Amino acid sequence: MEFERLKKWEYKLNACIRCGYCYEFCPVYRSTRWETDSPRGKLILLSGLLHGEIEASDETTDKVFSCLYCKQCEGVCSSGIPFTEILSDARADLVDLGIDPTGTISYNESSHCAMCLSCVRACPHEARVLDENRVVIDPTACQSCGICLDVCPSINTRLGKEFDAGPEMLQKQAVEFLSAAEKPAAKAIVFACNWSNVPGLVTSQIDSSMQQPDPEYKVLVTACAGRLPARVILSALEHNAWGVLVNGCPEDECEHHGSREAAKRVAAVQKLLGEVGVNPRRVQYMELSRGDPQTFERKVNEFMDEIRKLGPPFQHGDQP
Amino acid sequence: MSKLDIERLKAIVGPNNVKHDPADLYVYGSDSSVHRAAPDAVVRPGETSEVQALLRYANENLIPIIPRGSGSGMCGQVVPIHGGIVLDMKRMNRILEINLADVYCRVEPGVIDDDLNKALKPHGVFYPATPASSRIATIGGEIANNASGVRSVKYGATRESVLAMKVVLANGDLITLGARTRVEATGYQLERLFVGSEGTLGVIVEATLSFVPIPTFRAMGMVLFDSLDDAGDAIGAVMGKGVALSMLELVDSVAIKAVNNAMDLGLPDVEAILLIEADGMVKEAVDHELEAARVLCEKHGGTLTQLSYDPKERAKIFLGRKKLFPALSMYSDSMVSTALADDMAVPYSKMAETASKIHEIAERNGVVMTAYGHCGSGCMHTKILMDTSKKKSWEGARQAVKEIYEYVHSVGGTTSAEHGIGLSKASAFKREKADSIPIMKAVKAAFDPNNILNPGKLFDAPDDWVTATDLRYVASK
Ligand SMILES: Cc1cc2nc3c(=O)[nH]c(=O)nc-3n(C[C@H](O)[C@H](O)[C@H](O)COP(=O)(O)OP(=O)(O)OC[C@H]3O[C@@H](n4cnc5c(N)ncnc54)[C@H](O)[C@@H]3O)c2cc1C
Ligand code: SF4
Repeated sequence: MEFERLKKWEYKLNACIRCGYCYEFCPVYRSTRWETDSPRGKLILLSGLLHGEIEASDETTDKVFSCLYCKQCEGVCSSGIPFTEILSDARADLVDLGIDPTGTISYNESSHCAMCLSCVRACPHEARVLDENRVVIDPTACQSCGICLDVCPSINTRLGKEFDAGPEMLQKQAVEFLSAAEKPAAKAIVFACNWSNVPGLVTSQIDSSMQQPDPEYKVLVTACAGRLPARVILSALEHNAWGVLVNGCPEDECEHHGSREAAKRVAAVQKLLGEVGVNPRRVQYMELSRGDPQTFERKVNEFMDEIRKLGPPFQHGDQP
Repeated sequence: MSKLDIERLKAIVGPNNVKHDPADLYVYGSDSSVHRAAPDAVVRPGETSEVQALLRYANENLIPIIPRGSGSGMCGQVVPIHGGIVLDMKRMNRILEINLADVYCRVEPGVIDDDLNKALKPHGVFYPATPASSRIATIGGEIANNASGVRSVKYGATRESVLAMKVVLANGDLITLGARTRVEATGYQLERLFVGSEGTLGVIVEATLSFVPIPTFRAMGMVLFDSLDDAGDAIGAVMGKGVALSMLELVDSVAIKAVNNAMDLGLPDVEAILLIEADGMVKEAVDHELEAARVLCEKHGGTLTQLSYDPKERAKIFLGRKKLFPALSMYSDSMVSTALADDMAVPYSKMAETASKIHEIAERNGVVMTAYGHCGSGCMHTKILMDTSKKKSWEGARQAVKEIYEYVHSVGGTTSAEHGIGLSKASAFKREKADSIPIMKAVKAAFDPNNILNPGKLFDAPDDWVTATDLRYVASK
């Protein structure tokens, strides 16, 4: 029977009251602003697939395989819908039907794999396995956390789609913010994981003439803190950031072992900075549980106070 | 309707703002209602000129246009019953001006209500017509539905906050309605006509809204009743004496049980709860109103508990009411909460009787219903909880809905307080407004002679809501 696994979720698909409260928390929706990309949109699609009202076309399956598994939607859902569990079952059903998964699933860009198996070891979801002398990816297990992105020495691992949460896009946004002539106050970048922080005012825009005073820092959301490569942090410093704050969730709350990776990476960057005479405190890592915007703001303010005292880097004999 | 020229649509709004593959069309065929019907294209205009060009094209080619905010409407207002182009307005989402001296703000229709309030907050003011869905609802959708919320008893519905607007008509013309001033007596109040127009008269591309100061003091309490009738009498007494509350909410015993079952919030196990709140700039004034409410409630058998000014305490008191909607969707493992017969308004003196009647009708027709709502505004909310996979449930729901509206109309109530009509309430609306529908149709024809704007809704919607479109649920048993 087609969609056998999905069938057991029929009640939950019906129980979704379609309030759309999940929209603003979904990084994929925030990136495209198409309702089809939101959790609600995907549940509607799954309902359509289950009842034979739509076909498992390339477009439909691409949506089903596009999710960063941040699970923010589950935390805010009005009806307690276990969104990612349902999605994973639908993915397995689609793979049984022989579809070729695309979306956010990780892949290897070229065949130039050194076979070091770093990605196989790093993947927290056992989605990358060694099969007959090559690394293969199980699309039903991959949660697009991106932990594999920074561990490959051949820079060969990729996610199908990044939805503004990919390293290149984050680097571009950070550099744009730090270099924009109209933002002379710009001093720092806060990389926040989507689970521990969702920036406010995400869907509407304020006319530029009414903006508050120039912001000193910019919050950029990376799907999981563990996927943030060291080069993106260093690039912000190269572009005159006074500091970079990386925010992940507490280790026991992280779904992807990402905070452990992030903490390790920040420590490595701090060590490097110390070696070249830059105060390592300019780059810091903080942990924060979900749904605590006050603590987030307080910790960012404390960081900014410290950074302001340090002044611009490379000017005051920045000694550790 | 002629065949859609997708390339033309792309030329108007840019290729990245047009969708027409079946997956997108399927999703944009739904809202928070029981209905579904796919459009032929989804288009996201970013500027007024693009809306004008789209409407000109649609009008020339007789293609339906369905303006859409976030699709959180509960009655199928944005379900494209005759296909056509869904106009997703969420890209027109700029807050254009906040003018404190003249007490207005100007926004595009895709601005989310909560975002507007976030922008207003630093100025010490707020936009009060906020529905419970404010984290998702757009200002355009709120205006077109005349949305309101828990504080409508003091601050009114959307219509009280709309001063002016810019609207694109079916032929692509742009017109300005209303004025930025607090009062205006300059001809027909056409901006009011667009409030509640459900996308059938024109596309709102800008709105000028008034706001009010954020009160310095706000206090809330819970009044417990052993009888629903007593709670109903207390509502009439409080409102009749002109006690100026900022919130007066009723939660009945079915609702109390639903919340306690689903979330274990420990609401007192009584027959009815009234949540009362007052706000103001002076504490004595707030105390005065709450004391007046307490005396009247106690006279009718109520006991005031948990009165507090503390925001955390208030949030705790309100949590039960806030979680009611989600709690209903977790009522049992076989029943789901459907948006049907969801928001009638009745005179204050009929609140308690209406709640009892709802329970009686539900039981007779084999469905579960609860009664709660912003009773300070006469608004009674409910949902139908049923096993949507059974055909019998839908027959029961159809009959229950019919009987409930017959009762509501018989006591001088109205079909919708705030969610609007769309498809699912059309037959009750047609019965209630029978004598004014010819005039409404004439107004519609004057604005939209080719009937391209959200056709098949309100008076043009089918009489039987169950068969009006495909349902989002599959009733196979
Ligand atoms: C969980 C939940 C709670 C809710 N609580 C409340 C509540 O407390 N109070 C309340 O009043 N409602 C409530 N609603 C109903 C709904 O959220 C509101 O009516 C809201 O105003 C709809 O806004 P929207 O942006 O989603 O509009 P949509 O549903 O997208 O559209 C609503 C109507 O507006 C029209 N429209 C949208 N934009 C424009 C435009 N620019 N020009 C012309 N017409 C336009 C559409 O054609 C449609 O007829 C609730 C809904 C949900 C799901
Ligand atoms: S928040 Fe939950 S119930 Fe609401 S639309 Fe999203 S998945 Fe459905």
